[in-house]
Amino acid sequence: MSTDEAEVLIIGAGASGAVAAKHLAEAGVGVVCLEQGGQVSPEEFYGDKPEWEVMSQRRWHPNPNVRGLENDYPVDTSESDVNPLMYNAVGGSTVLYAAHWQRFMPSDFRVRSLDGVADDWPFACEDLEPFYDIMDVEMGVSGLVGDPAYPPMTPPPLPPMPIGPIGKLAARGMNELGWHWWPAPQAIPSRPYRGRGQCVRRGSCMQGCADQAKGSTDLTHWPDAIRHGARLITGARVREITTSPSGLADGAIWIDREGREHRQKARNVLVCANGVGTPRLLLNSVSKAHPNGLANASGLVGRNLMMHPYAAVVGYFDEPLESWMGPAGQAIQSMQFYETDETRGFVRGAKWNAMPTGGPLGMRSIHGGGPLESAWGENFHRGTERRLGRSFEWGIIAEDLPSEDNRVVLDPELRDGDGVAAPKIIYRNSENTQKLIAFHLERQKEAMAASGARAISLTTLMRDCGWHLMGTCRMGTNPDRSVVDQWCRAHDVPNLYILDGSVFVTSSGFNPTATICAIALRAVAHMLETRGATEAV
Amino acid sequence: MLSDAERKTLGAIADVLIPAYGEMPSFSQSGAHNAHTDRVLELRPELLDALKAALALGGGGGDAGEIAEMLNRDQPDAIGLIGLVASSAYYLDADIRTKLGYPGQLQRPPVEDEEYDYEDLLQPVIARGPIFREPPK
Repeated sequence: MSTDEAEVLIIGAGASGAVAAKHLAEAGVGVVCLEQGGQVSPEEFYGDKPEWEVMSQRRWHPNPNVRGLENDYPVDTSESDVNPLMYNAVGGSTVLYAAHWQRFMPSDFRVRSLDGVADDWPFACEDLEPFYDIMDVEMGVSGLVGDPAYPPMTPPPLPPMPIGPIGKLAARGMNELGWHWWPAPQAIPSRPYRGRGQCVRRGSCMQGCADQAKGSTDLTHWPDAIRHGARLITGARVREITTSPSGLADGAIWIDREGREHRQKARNVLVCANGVGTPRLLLNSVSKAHPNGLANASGLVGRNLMMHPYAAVVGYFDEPLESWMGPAGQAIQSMQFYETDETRGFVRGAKWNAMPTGGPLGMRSIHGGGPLESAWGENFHRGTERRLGRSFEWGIIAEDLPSEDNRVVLDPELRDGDGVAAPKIIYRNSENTQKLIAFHLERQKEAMAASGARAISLTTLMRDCGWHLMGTCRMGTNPDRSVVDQWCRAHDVPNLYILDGSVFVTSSGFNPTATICAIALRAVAHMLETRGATEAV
Repeated sequence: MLSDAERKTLGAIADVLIPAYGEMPSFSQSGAHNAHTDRVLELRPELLDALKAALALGGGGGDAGEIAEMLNRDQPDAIGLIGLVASSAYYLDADIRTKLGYPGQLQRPPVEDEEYDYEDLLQPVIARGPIFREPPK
C-alpha cells in the first residue's frame, strides 16, 4: 500500500491527462498518474496486416462493450440512442481516434447570446487560441491556413495532408453548388515530425496507427512527461477519490490487475477520465462531506451528456477513387451549414467530413432476418463491387445541445471486473437534433449528386458513434448551474480539477480533442501561475 | 477448431451466401473454408462455440440453399454469424483481393507535389470570403 503523497494525482492518461502530466512535470511539479489500461505497443495493431478489418470488429472496436477487455468497464446503454466509444490505455481514446484536429468557432462559446439556447462559456474563443497554437505544435498538426470559416489563426506546423481523389471529387461537387470546403486539419504529420514518422496513409488510423505516426498522446506527451519525472502507473483502476474531514480531495483508492487495493495520497487531484468515466468516478466517491458524490452540490455531475450523434451519406461512383487510402478520418471538411439559420427550423449546425470507406469487409456486420438475397448471394459481390475503392462518405458531426435529461448515472446492478459500479447512459436525440440531421442529410445528398454519384446510401443515425463524450461536469460561473469554474476547478472542492470533455458547456459541431487539450493546457497554465497562492500545486 | 463435418457444412452454406460471380470464385472455390477460416477463428476465438452451434442447426444434410433460407428465417443470428466468418475469411485471401483490385492497406507516404495540388479548386472558396459569425464581445 503506497502512502507517498503526490503533489498532483492525475486520474486517466488519455488526451487531457497526458497534456497535464507533461506540462506539470516540466514545471517541476511532482505528478503521479493512475491509468486503468496499459501501454499499447505498435506490434499490437493490425493496420499493417491483412487481418486489419477482422480485428477492427472486436479487439480494436471503439465500443468497450464490444471489446470487453480487462482494461474496459461495461456501460449500460439500454436507454441510449447512441453507444459511447472510448479506449482505456495510455493515450486514451487518441489511440483509436481519427485525429480530426478541429478548433471551435467563436460562435461556439456564445450559443446563448447568439441563438438563445444552452449557455455561454465562461471564456471566449480568443482566450483559448494561445493554447490551441501550442497544442498544434505538440501534436504535429497538418493543415492549410486561411480557412474562411474561421477568423485568422496561426498556421499549423505542417503542410496539409493530400486530399486525394475522394477529396478532389467531393470538392468539385461543393464548388458546383458554391458551398464551403477546406482541406481538413489533422493531428497527423504530413512530414516526419519530432521523432515520429510521416503518415503513410494506410487508412487504419481508427484501429491504432501501426506506423506510430498519428498524434496520439502516448507518443506526443507521455515520453516528455516521464522524462521530467511524472510517475505513470498502469493497470490502476481508481475506485474512488477520497476526501479529508474538511472535504478536500486527499487521494484515491485504486485496484491493480491482481485485485489488490492501493491508496495514493495527493495534495491535488485532476480527473481526466472522459465524459463518462469522470462522472462515474465522482458519483462513486461518496463521503459524509459529499453524500451525492464528489463535486456534486449542484446535482449536475453526470448531467448534460452530449455525444454528437453522427449521420452520413455514402456516394458511389463509376471512377476508381482508391477510397481505402488514408487518413481514415477526413480528406476535406465543410462548414457551409455550421452557423444557425432560423429559416431551417432548428438552431446550430454541423461540420461535414469527407471520409474514405475502407477495405472490402468494411462495416459488414452480422446480418440476419431480412431477405437473404438482400445482403448475400450475388448482391454480396455487387455490394463490394459498388463500394470498394469507388465511394466516399460525407459525415455529419451534429451539434448536440445540452439537456439535463441526457445523463450518466451509476447502474444499480452492473459492475466492472473489480466490482465497482458501472455507468449507465440515458440519452435521447432532441427534436432540434433530429431536424438538424434531416436537413444536413438532404444537403449531403445534393452534394453527392453534384459530385456525380450514381447511387447513394444513408445512415440516419449511427449507433456506434459516441466518440465525443462531453458536458457531464460543465463549467460556469454559477456554482448552482455548473460543476467547475473556467479553470476547471470544482466549485465545491478547491483542490479537485476536471480536465476532460466533461467540462464542455456546449458541444459545438466539431470533433473535440483539440479543444479538450487546449482547455486542459489553459487550466494547467493557470494552476502554475497561481502556484502557492491556493491549495493548488 | 472446426471438425471436417462442420467445415463441410460451413462451405455448403457459405457458398449460398458467397457464390461464384463473374471472375469471383465462390467461398469454397477460393479455399477460404480452410486456412483463412482457421485464421479468423484464431483471431476471434469467442466466435467458435456460437459458430459450431450455428453449423449444427444446418448440418443435417439437404439442400444448402433451403438450409440457408431456413436459418435466415428462423435463426437470423446463426446465418449472420456464418456470413460474418465466411466474408471475413473470404476477404483475407490474396487472390480475392487481387481480383478486386484491392492492394490492402499499403504504405503510401505523401510526396511534396501532392500536398497542395488543388489550388485552383480552392480559389472559389477563398473568393467568397469569411463565413463565420463574430459573437458580441
